[in-house]
Amino acid sequence: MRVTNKMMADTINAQLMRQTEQMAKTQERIVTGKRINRASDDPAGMSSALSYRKTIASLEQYNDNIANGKLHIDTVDNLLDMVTGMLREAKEVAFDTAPDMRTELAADVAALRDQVLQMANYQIDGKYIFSGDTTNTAPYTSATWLYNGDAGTKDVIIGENLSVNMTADGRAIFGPDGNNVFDIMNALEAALLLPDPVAIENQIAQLESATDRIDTVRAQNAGVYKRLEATENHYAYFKVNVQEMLSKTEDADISEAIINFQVQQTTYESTLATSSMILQKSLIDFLG
Amino acid sequence: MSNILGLLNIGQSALLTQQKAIDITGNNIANVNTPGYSRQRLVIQQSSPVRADGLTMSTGVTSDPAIQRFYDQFLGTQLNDENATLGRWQAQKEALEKVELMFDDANEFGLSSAMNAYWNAWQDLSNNPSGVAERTTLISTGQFLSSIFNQVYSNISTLKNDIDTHVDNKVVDINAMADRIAELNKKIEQVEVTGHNANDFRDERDQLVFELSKMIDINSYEDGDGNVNVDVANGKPLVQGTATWDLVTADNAGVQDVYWQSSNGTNVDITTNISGGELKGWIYARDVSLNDYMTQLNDLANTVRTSVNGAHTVGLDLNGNAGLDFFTGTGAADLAVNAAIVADTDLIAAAGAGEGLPGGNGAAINIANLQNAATMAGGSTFGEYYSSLTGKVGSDVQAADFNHEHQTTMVQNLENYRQEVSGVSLDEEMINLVKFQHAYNAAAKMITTADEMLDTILGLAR
Repeated sequence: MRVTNKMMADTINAQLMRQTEQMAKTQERIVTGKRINRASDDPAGMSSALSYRKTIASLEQYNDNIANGKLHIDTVDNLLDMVTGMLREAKEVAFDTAPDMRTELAADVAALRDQVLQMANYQIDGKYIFSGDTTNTAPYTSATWLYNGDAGTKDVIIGENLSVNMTADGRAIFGPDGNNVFDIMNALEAALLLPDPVAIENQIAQLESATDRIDTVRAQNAGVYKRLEATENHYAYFKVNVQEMLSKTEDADISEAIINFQVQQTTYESTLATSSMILQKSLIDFLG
Repeated sequence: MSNILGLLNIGQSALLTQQKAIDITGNNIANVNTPGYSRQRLVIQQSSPVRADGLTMSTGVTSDPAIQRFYDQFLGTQLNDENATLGRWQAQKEALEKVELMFDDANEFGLSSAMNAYWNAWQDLSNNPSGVAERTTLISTGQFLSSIFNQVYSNISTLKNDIDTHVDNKVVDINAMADRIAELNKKIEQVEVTGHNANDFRDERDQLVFELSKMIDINSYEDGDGNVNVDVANGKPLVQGTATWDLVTADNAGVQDVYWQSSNGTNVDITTNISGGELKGWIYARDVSLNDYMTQLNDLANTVRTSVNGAHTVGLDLNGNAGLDFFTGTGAADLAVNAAIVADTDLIAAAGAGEGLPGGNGAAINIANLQNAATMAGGSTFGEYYSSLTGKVGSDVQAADFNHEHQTTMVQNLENYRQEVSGVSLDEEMINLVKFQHAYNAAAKMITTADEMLDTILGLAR
């Protein structure tokens, strides 16, 4: 093979270019910590990285939703716990047969009823939680004791195409219009004022079934709460896995990259060293 | 020629010939780095012998008026072919790498994360359907999403216009080169008709053809008169002898197409017949790759728009009215959040049909669920569709990059082969220089000797 000067220069040039390009690429990986810095670095990897990122973003959002749902159930359960306590107190009043205290007892019942009303009209962030979807409307007023809300539920997205519903219909919790907790307590108050011992005793059974109704809702909520918690725990675990997959897909192995860089640097330096020797000498140096 | 004057003649022919050889060696050294230069050699031969005094005597040295040029015609053709492919991938790589920058998802600024944020905003809204903060966030994520659609799409359109400019400029360059090749054809014919070799003009012409081959794939051949004829795009002549044909560009459906102008002035569209060179790279990127990306972006934007609108218009806004279209527009270029909704967030329809207000969130949940619905053609979700588009852009760039690198090596290797034949080796030239210099010195010495011999003879007569 006949080797000419331009050929040597061109070849060395091309080699140096290629080596510096490789070094720049490795350097970029070290600096960004990422194996994939643009789609062409690994098109298939890029596609899966995008889908992992979508999954992580969704899981974070589901966890936000779940936290919101749990907070709602916590609040509802606290309120309903207080309501059942008040119903129990009302029931104790009905059991109390002391004849001379009936007017005071009637006042107690009225006070308890107003407290239950306050619970039923409880607002989170300015929104009534027991009036279905009509969250701007107070579910009950002392004027009529009729339910003003609708049958809407509180819905929370907890997964892909997966939502849970929580009862927010006041009638399902406090009883149907005409026989809700307020009507029962009104009847008790009236019976105490008359007094009508039979009517008073009748309300005991009514109060018991009202308590049962609330307990049923609380049990349902507890079930939903458990499901939310289990889902949350599962997502926490799942998210770690997906993050690991994402990292494996798009993150650079830094130690490997540094070793590669050193190898490339050595090659580069030896190319420079040999090139300088090849290019500098020619026959001219040895002719007198 | 056994007389002293004949001796002087031999000396003179030797001096002149060695001097010419040194001249050419010097020229080779001077052009060691000149692109396209082919090394030259003086063709040295003996002079015709004469018969004198019963002997056949040689009469010294002479040189052929045609100076030899080292050149491999076959290699030249191969190099031109590979150079056309190199030009094609280089242009295509450049164009696609610019597109890739617009799909900026590796850095989490792309459409993919904008879509995630948008769907999540609907979920946030479902948690608090009447929340002003949630509604405002939803509007801004929707605006961000549409702005990224607009931006990516318009950047690709701009790139298409840039490519059109490149195509225009290349065509101007090609015409200029064709003219210069025709000019050189003329000069070479004028020189070579006298029996000389037009080496410098030939080098220049070969270099021009080589450069031309990078712009557009050509078929070039030398005719019997030493003219190089160049055809482009399936046999349309560009240069024939001293005649040239022009390429022109003209708008065709929004992009610059390339036309070949025939002798009678009619234009023939050769855009699809160009199969190599930078023109092919630009045109392919513009008419195939970029169009494909734009179509897919439009599909995505349109499906997002129609499916969100479909679910939004059956929902109820905070005033109890059916929802308006959430997105307006006709494609990725003009996708936007409905201005009426931007002006009044109450018009976002979070509640499903028949649900109570303001706590109903059926529509919000339905829209949030669109994220995971296999809505796109081929049964993929929006996210999957987009990531496969990103993957396609990536693998197109990767392929162009790979081909470019391969082709660079290929041309480099062929260039080395060409250099092996035509290139100047300084060592070789130095050896020649020494060789010719010694011959020159010896010839001069011979003349001195002849001179002394004449002196001796003239001294006898005194």
